[in-house]
Amino acid sequence: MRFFRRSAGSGETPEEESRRLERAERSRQLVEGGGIPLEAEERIRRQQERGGVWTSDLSVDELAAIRGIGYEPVAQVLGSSLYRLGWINTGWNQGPGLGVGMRGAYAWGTMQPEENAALTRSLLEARARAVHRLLLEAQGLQADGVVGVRLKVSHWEWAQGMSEFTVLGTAVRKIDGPHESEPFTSTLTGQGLAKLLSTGYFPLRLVMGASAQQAVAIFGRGFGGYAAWTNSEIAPFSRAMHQAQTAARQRIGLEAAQTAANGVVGVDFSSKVIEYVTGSEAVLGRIVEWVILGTAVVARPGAASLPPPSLVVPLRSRRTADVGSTGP
Amino acid sequence: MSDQLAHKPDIPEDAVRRLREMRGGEGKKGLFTSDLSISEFLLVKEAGFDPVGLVIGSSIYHIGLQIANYRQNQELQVLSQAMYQARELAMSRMEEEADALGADGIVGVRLDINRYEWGQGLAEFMAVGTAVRSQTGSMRTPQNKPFTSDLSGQDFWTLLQAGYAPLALVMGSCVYHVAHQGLGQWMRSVGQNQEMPNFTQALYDARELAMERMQTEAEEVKAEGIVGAQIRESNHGWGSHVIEFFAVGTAVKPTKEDHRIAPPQLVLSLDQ
Repeated sequence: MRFFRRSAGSGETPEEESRRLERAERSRQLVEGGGIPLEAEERIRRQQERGGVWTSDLSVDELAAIRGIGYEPVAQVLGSSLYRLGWINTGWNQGPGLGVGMRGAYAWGTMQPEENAALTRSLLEARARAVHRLLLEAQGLQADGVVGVRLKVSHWEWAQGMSEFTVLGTAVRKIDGPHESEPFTSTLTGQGLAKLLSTGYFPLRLVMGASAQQAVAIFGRGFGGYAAWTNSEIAPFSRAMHQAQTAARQRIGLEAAQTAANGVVGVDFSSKVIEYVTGSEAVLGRIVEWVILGTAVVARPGAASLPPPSLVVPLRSRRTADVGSTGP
Repeated sequence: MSDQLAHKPDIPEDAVRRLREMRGGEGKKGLFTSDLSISEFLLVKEAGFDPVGLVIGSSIYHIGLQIANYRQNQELQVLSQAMYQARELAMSRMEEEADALGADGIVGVRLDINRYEWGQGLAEFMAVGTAVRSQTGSMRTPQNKPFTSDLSGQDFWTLLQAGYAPLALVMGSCVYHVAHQGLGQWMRSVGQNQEMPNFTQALYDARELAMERMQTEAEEVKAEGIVGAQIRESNHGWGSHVIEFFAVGTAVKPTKEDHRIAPPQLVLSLDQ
């Protein structure tokens, strides 16, 4: 294996160490500015200069589909951001516990769930940073677009309260041109892209919408709150859920409108409910998060009409290669 | 024929006997084993290949130790190398088995890592797949080795239809130590939602390194590209700050100069 610079076991010289640390520091600064680290920059530059082998996470079907419509893979592209999302300043956990409880009780009846603007911003920004890095890699490759972008949220044991947002996709280029001035980004699979283009639409970019709504509900009869022993809807939480969904959908629509899109396809949403401490046992606090992700598409002139589909019995049974997992 | 079996010092005797029986010859009929599903079997046959046997390669490897600087993001190259070499050993033994069967290649390769109670710091690296032989002429790699791929029978068929042939399962490994945060760093970031550039850089770099190594391997076998690349992240009991990023995919090359693919047709599947 010639790509390992040092043989096993040998230590590094002080100069090597300082060079390595310097590189790491420069990478860190690039990342802090929203860019991609040196390793990534270099991989992209090498790929762009040397050409040679393309990499892709396309399945064979996807490869066949995109080649069928005149595209070829350029390289696998990546974006990642490790983000602290644990800190939630709710306004409800301030001050002594009783005060919060009483405040909740007196406000009851008029109290509406409200948006936690800081958290909403973070939900979007963490994802946007990862997606922006993926786009930087695609731009460096002078790609026409990125297909099959998947967002993964992972949690690491050593990073409590933080989430890692990773996006992976395959940069593609039109074989015979003309080339796009800016690569599109899309969640579409290779087959999805083939179907979309054959119906006269073109993907523009990933669009997102998010909302975090917080709500409290009072338990205990003394304050006219919910009783633990009856079945009833907890209206503030339902309202929070509804508001979060509405706001997130509105925002993805607004973002798509800014890109001159006709619509959004391939929408995927995720939601999460977080419990927070209100300071009073009688007051339950919840934060509802909603995130919607999709691909904005635009109709291009010369739209082809969809041919009628033919019926087939597929020979495909799902089987994916399972690689390198470790047991407990 | 039997010469091929005689020169396999890396395969245990029992395996040689098993392979010999499967090959048949001397008046005896050959027999194949495979882990292909029915559909896969049909499609492999349709693509002009015969399955010749289930092939396995295994290596029990002791993964050494490497101490990282507590406060630094750094690659642990000793461990990267160990993880790579152990898989490489298992793969090459599997290839030797396929070789002994006179196969042209191996489809559906899976790489597994098993740990056992009886071996602290030991891991079994295993490669399993189904060896296939071409009915039409040699499909071996330019290095005269059987091709390897993690493609299913269906993907194998589609790949050949699309004018590509698999070359080799290519991989890259990077074991990385993520720095522990100092109290100062922690104090600066507490109380706000924000990106942690130090951690982002570590994870980003590690993935890029693994991807690049996979690509280097593909270049070595003179591939045109890699399909189905995946990046797996796992912690193999080194403590939570040490993570392996493992990139794996199938390197492919075109079978002919002109490989235009007909535009795909829309179909309605009757499967569900």
